Amino acid sequence: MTPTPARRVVVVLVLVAALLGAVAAERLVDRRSTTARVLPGTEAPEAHPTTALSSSWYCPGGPADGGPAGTALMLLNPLREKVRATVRAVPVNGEPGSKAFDLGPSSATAVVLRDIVASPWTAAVVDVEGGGVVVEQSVGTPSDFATMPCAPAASSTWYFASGSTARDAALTIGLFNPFPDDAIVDLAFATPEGRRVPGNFEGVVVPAHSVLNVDIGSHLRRQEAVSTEVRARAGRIIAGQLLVRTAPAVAGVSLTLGAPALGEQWVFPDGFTSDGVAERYEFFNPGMQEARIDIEVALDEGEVEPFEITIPAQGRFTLNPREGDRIPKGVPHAAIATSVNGVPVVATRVVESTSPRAGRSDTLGARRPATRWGLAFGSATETSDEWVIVFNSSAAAARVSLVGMASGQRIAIEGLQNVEVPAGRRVAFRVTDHIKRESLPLVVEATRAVYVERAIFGSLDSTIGVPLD
Amino acid sequence: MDAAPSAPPVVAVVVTHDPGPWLEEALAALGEQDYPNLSVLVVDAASAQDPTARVASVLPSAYVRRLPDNRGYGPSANEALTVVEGASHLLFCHDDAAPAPDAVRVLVEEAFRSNAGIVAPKYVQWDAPARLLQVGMGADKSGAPSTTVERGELDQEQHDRVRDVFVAPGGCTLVRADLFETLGGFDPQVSLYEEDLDLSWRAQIAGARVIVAPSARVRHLEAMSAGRRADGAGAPDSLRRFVRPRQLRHRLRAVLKNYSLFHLMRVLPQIILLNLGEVLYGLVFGRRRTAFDIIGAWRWNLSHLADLREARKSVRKLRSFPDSEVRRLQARGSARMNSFIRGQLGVEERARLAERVGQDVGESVRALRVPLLVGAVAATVFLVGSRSLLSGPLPVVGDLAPFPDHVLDVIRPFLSGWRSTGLGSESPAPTAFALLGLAGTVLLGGMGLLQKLLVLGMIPLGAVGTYRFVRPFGSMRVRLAAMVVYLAIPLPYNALSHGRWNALLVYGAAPWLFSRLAHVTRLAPFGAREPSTGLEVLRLGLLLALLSAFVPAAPFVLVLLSLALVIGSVVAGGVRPAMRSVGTALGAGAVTIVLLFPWSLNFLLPGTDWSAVTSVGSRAGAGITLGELLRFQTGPLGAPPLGFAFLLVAALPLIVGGGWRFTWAARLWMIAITFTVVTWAGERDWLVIDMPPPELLLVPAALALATSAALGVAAFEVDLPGYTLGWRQIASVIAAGAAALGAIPVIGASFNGRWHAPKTDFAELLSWMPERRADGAFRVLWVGDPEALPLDGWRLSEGTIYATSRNGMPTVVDRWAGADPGTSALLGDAINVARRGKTTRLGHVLAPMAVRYIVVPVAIAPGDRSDRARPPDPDILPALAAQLDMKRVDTDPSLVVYENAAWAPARALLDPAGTKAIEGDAEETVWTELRGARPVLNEAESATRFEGVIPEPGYVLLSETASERWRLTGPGGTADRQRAFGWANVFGVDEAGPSTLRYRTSPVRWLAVLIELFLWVAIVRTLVQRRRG
Repeated sequence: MTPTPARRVVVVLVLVAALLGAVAAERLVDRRSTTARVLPGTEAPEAHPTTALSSSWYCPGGPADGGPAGTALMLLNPLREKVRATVRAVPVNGEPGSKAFDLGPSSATAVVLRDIVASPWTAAVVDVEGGGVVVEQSVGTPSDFATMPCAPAASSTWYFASGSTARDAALTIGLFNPFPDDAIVDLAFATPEGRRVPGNFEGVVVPAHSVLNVDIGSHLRRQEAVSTEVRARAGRIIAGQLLVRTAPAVAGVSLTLGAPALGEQWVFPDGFTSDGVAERYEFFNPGMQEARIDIEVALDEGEVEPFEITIPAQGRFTLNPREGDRIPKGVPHAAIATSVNGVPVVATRVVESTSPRAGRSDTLGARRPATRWGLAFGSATETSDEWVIVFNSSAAAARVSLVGMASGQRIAIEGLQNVEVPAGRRVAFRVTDHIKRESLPLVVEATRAVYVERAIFGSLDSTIGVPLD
Repeated sequence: MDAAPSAPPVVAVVVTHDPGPWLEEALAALGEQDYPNLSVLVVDAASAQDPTARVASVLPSAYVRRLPDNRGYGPSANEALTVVEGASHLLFCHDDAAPAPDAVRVLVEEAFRSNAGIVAPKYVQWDAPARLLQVGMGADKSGAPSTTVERGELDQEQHDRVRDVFVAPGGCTLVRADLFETLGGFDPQVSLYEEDLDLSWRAQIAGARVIVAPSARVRHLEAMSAGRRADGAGAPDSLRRFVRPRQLRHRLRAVLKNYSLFHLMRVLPQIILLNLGEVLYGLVFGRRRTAFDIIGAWRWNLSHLADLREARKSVRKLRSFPDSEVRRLQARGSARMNSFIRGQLGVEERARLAERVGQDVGESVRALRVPLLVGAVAATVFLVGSRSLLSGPLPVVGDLAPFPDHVLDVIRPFLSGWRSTGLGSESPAPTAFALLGLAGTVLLGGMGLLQKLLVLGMIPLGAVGTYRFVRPFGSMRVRLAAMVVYLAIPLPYNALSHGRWNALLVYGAAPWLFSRLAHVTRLAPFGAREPSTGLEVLRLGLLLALLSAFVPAAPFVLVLLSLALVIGSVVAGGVRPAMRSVGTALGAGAVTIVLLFPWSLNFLLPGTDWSAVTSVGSRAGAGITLGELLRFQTGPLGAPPLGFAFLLVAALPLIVGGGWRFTWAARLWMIAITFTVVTWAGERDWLVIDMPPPELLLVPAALALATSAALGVAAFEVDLPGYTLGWRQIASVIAAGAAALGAIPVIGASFNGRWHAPKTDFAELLSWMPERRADGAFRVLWVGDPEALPLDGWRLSEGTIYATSRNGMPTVVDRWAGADPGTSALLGDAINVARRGKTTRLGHVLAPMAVRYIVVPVAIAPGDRSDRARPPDPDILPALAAQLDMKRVDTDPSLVVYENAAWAPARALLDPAGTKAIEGDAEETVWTELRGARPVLNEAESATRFEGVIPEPGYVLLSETASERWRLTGPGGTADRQRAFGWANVFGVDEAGPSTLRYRTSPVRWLAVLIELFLWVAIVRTLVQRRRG
């Protein structure tokens, strides 16, 4: 029986409607997109989760040959149970050595690398049976002392916004490959004169389980300001930078772990300028697009218009906030640098001091706030003036407590408990005013996510803490 | 006739049985012979009426011997052995053969001239003596007849040359009397048909020549084959049923009897293969009788084995000539295959039958010309397009894991009850292993051939299925249209290109399944048959079980198909009948579950991950658009605009079709839309359950469109003539043009020779891996997109699975991993720990699991084709790169391979450090160093039996899931077993020496196998019995 025309039309219309419905639905729906989970430590140092089966910290190393400069590690266990750890020291030449020990609960353990392996440059891997531990590295000379967190993860890229190969500066980058595969690394630099890619720094092979200390000044001479990009063609590495200034006015060491990834926002909880203390922000844009950056400065007193700067593609920029007196002398401040056009950069705050104490610190900005921070190194004595600066960038006040880790005891530092940090403000705690201890590893606990920086003015050392959560 | 002393005495032996009116004419012809010394013996095989009077009326001198029963021609003719004495030659005559007056003389003269043992005349038609029937005959190695004479060919003396032949065809054959006696006469077991083949064959074995003397003409009525005898009369079909089985079984008997052992061993496998092909062909193309006849021939011969042995002994005693000499006269190649290729199977019988019913064979052949031509073109395109895949190995991509070299390698895992996937488990093996083992055995261990049949063969199988499915729709053109469109839709070639074996299997089976469903609805035009519902459920269930053994999602697809049919019927009408298809599909699903027991329990037990049925969805699926799905562009073929052509073709019946052509077109379109939309929504995770891969789920849509296209042809034939010239005719022309254009991409792709399947594969890239087994047995842990992994696995995360293979690339034995990972979940846990950044010592975690390599494919195959890219979960590679004990292995960019620097062999003698750690749990192994473990028991007979020397007492780690059924025996007896690392086995060995480690199959497993076998046999038997009934 032949269908009536009406029935035929109805059937065809139903079928067409079903098809068109599907087509319409497709147009309304976004395609599924997936992004990688950010593994702990791949953007900035942070502690591994306490549930981890095992965790490793990679310290790119420093001098450990018994000379005037020495490298040490500080392992902070903020947990309430002991943790087994093994330090494997990897020398620039010679055989590696290792040392295993228990990290007592709520305590910190110092390890001098020279005691394991003596070498002109020694890097280290700290294997921990579990997570939750923080490891920092220091390089000390008789006159100065610098710290940085070790890296909880390797990366194929590392960026340093600051550096110098000026006549009185020795800039060394440690390239550490703890993996069983060789890594091949290219180094490129941005200077005030433009991008530089010395041939000697291309295709640098970092053999498996080894470390190289690369003297940047040997091929990139007399550059007052240098930004460095370390990119591994093959393999993954850890890169840290040691800057030694010998000019009497600014003599000292500065130690910086590279940034494993670029970011659109960098936060500096601390900042200060005065006579004899020069502060500047170094930006490095290794990408192919210029970056437009706004720097908001949160003064402890008063307000200031944000700085707006443009960083050329593959270029660098130095911002001196004192220029034009926009930031009043002697007023502490925090700063937030944000890329307004989405081009990621790396930012470092450099402080050079000639008085009351000569030295320099290069502090990589913080990437994310946290409610718990670990500070493995610390010293609050008559000669070592330790500060903890907390910056609350959120819209609500946070309450902050500082807890000292002392050989199994958790010392709630008197006067530094439950202190309010107003929204959008920073508070600097002078720890030395509340407690005196030669070694004072700290855990900073806050009711809201905040940024934490530690400064030890006895040696003009300043570093961002390590998030524990 | 007066005897002349100069002529050797010849006795004509005429065998009769209920002779027709031709008898007198035949006897008269003998009486008219000019041969001077001819006697006639008439052997009557128990005719209902005594023919003596009739014989006497024509040939009074003839001697008549009546037999008490009808033994058939040969055994009756053997009476000559006892009755005739003193004859030099015997002339064995049918009672419907009339020799020309000089025929006997010519035959005898030629016998002496050529020193021949057997001489055959030229046979011509009874009623038209100018037409040839036979001038001698050949036979191939299987005994199948081969002739150079076309039946009915005009006799212009073109074949009149005395020559040796392999067979002297029966009818009027001169045989030297002493030779006949030596041979023991005709084979008494060969009652009718092929007795001439056997006699001629044996004569040649005995050293006698068999020749044809064409100068001797004999008219032959062939009354039996023409159905003119009382016991052969009836419908052509029943006549065929009488003749064909006897021919086949007697030919087979001749083969089994007459070859020497050596040649039999050479020939028999070929005959088995050929017979298998014929059986399959018969089953597929509806010539089931042919298939059953072949099976019957084997059954008959196997039931006469004892007699056959005796007969072989007799032949052995006769042998004067080796087979190599005898076979020189056999036709080369296969006469049956030639016949098959010409599409003329049984042509001899058909021709005879056609004569009987007055049909013109030529007309029949002409009618077949179009389908033969279309079939030949389709086959040519397919063969050209698949040439590289047919001539070389199939690439290891997608689901196309290679088949093992030996049949036992699939049978053993099925029987043992130990599954080697993951970390091993005591779980039911997939029924697919048994089916593969069975098929591999039938193919004499040709596992490579089996794989090609099960992969490439699915495309022609699907085409043939479609051809048969649409038979109720009408003409040959309709069927051809369905077949051609189904073949021209790019889906199977895209599936092949991406190694989607599951989809190809469904492509091959879908028309057969849908055909059953359609018949169940009895919606016109499928209402002709009214099968019992129970029988249909069983039939469909059996088909579905066969498919589901390989594609667990098949029952789901079938039920979805039946539901889509109901939805289509809501639009087109006939909901209630269509509902029957849902019930039948569900019933068939239940039968499938029963037939696949106990493996099917895998998918039914509580907590089963549904993705075990459908497989985990690929992350790449989200990128596929509705347009691509409508064009079936899941791979390189199907790009617009030609990709849309078949939508136009399939739309024709919607606008010009009438009656059931319109309603079925509406239903089919709704099926196509339903499956397309479900595929599309599934790929976007809109549905609450995982869907099968798009290539698989689109098969019903492709079938629906192809069938709708066929309905367009039916509408063109039936409905269009009723309309006046107008837009409908134009639409038909457009549809025809679109069909032609739509086929272009597939034809074009055929020039590629491999349907764009990759030329290199992971097996080639990882060919170095098996050599590493010398360091100890190991596992390869595969992680990545389910479409990129060459094996099934368990879900790790959305769009990512993990699976294992052993000592290199996976084989088909590593497929069908099972729904519940059990202990193997530890592998996934370990990967997840690394993914979350919770360890940098993944190698140590995996070391006791003998994981030496982690392989992460980032594409389906090597190469830079974007459609093959299947990147893994973005967490995976960074997590692996962060491991301190994983060393990256350089290889193609399509693969990321890491070697575990901390691995331990799967069977290892532990050092003290390892021994100390065995009591810890799986996670504690992160701090365990097993690198000091030494490989032992490295000789593997199978996945469940290992042998070797254990060099010193200690603890032997067996990296398999803990089971009491593992037993290690050595010089010190049976070693104590305990758990290691909370999941594995460790054996305390007290004494060094040769040892054996094996898994003892549980009696429960044997019982399960028996139950499964019983269920299959019971259902098949029921179906066969019902069919016969």
